[in-house]
Amino acid sequence: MAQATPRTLSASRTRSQVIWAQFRKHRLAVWGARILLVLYTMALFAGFFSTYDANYYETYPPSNNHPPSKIHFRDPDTGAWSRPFVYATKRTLDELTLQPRYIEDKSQGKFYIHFFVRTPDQPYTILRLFRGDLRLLGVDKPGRLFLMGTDNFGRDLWSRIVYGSQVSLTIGILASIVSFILGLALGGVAGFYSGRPATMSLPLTHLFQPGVGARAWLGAAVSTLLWLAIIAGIIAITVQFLQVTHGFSLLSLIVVALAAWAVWGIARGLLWKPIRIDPDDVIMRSVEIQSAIPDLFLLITLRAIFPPSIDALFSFYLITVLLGFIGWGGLARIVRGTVLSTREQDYVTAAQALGASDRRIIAHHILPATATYVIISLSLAVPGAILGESGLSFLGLGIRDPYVSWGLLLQSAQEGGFASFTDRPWVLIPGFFIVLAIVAWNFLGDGLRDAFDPRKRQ
Amino acid sequence: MDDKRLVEVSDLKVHFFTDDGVVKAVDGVSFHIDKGETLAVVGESGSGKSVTSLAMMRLIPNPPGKIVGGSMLFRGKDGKVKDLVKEDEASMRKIRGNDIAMIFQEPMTSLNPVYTIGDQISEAIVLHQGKSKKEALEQSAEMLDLVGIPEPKKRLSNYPHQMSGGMRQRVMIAMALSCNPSLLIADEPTTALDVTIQAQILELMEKLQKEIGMSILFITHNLGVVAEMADRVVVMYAGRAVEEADVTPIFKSPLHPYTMGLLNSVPRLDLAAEGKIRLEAIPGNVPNPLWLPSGCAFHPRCKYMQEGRCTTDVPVLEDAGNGHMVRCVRWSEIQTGEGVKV
Repeated sequence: MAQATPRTLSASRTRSQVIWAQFRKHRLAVWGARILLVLYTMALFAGFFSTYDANYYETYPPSNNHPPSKIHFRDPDTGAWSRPFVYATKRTLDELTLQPRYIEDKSQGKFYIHFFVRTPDQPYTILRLFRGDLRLLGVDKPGRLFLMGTDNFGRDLWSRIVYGSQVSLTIGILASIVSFILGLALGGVAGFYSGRPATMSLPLTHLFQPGVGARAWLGAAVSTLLWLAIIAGIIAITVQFLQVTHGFSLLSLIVVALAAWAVWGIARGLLWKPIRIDPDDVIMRSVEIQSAIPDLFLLITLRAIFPPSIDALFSFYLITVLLGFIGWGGLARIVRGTVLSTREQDYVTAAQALGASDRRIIAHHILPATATYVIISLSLAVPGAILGESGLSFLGLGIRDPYVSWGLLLQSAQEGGFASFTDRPWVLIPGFFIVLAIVAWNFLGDGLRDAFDPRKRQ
Repeated sequence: MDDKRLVEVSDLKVHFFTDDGVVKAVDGVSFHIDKGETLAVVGESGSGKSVTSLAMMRLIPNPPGKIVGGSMLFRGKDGKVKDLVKEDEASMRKIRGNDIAMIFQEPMTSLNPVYTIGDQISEAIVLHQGKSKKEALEQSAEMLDLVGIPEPKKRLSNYPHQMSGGMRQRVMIAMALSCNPSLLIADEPTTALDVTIQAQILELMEKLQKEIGMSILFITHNLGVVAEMADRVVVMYAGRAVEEADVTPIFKSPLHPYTMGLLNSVPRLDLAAEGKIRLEAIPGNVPNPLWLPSGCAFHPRCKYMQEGRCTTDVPVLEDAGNGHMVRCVRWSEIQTGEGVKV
């Protein structure tokens, strides 16, 4: 008789192995991931990959609006192959447009491009932890190496793009994290407590029923005071509005009617009908109102609340938070939907029957079920945030000097008017990097979605 | 409460306030469970048996459901008698899983797919016994061994999808029993399993009941399972208990027409051998809980229905002797056969 072979456990591929195999089939996503890996490595070691400091320029000889340096691979006299080198340039002014023109000045000899050059006059740090002055490429002075030309101050554009990637690429991720925290918390609460309104205030009539103790009276006094304060606030805002708008119009009628409706609702709640508020209603209606306003418009409006001339570093944090605030709604919707369906699962009831608290059930049993959706929508939200930052900076409301971002570079590109695009087209290169990063993120998100979706598996 | 009593539910009422009206899912149910006893609650779908079990755990979704009346006295492990209707949420959490545990109908969906078996069994142990994760995992392996799962240590790191239905139900039982509850509520624990596995699970439950000495509230519509497991039986119909007795009298001499109908609708091999191939069925369906019939809720489906009495008089639960309770206006007439036309 044949002996029964012992069954081996967990011989099949794990879930993460399946996802990884599926992801690798999406070739565009793999390329997106590779490009992002290169871009983020570049951002992390910006000092090393740039040729100069982002804000370095020489006043004499000036090098403003210098075109990309011509890199020679052959000796012009003999025609023989040689190490790549550049010539120094001589600056002249165009007689017609008064724009600088640069001509190669061979008299100073060849400036060979060296690898791993030290620039002691322009030290940098990595993550503010490691100091260094080693750069990947460079030429000896007084030669200059402008891989992608210079801006109108003479600052090297390639170096500025590399340093700008630090802001542009991280702001997308940071803003997504802000969205993630807001969306997960609010979407989770909305979904879990949907249909179970919380009693915000009990009416006064309730207090005169038998068996109501002193604690209930105290609680009622506090909550009544709070609600009265809210009424006072509504009235104050309405009066202020009427004063600002001077006189009677349809709009003021609507505002007065809305205020009266709110005050009436609260007063009725205080007197005889309990005020019950479903957190799902409050949160989801706010998401809907927010999503009805165009994103860029909302972004500009929110930015306008703060003074335009704030500290450059603070404005970086501000932009991050604003972008995160714009993006949380979509995530909250996804989380709420998943939570709504998950909370009806038997295993949630089973966990309740084991004595788990609401908090534990949300954190341990419900939110993990949303993980795949969250990962996907986050990776698709990052490009939106990058684009939003570029848009704001382009409009002059975002990142400012001395910080650099790709959007800011594009803004300075259009300073010379339309002529700048024909006279010095290299200033548009930052736009190419924006497109590259966004396309790469989109492909990555797309690939992740397909990899996590069991219906798309082959 | 009597010393040997574990649970005493009296006049429990659970209503669901829906947009269409009030659904009286449980409307005045009373029963008791002694220590170490198995009480079976039997009835068709919609008779209120699952709602009763959820009410004992205070897990009725609110809104729309609410316990509107009655009391559920329960003797905790500490010996104190508590009324589960009046306990607050925090102390209910301590009771759930620790004093009263529950196993569900669907072992396929009652385990969280994203956690390992070990994580899920140790959850209750960590919650109620304050043990470290490591100790809890060791105890989980012992529990898996107890419920007859081979290689318990290896199985701890398995995910639910790597197990069969019967194995998962064993895991559910291990989870439920991990804190030595004094009452186990089993809500149709074998319905989703195939017949051979059903027998194994029932045997396992009986064995563990003897070892741990807990009481079981067994919810089912399967009368074969009732005969196997129960000490006493409560038959429910439309939110009310219609008959309550020890298990033998229920099968030997049922008093309520509904219980008789249920028994007649079970396929029987001995009758089939005699040539009675056709099964008797109870005509009609369970009434819409929003529009319960007047009088006895069972009268539209009852073959002993008498116009003018069953349609108007609301029957009360009467003692027919030896603690055999029945809720029927005509039960004694049906017993003696007086004036009953079929």
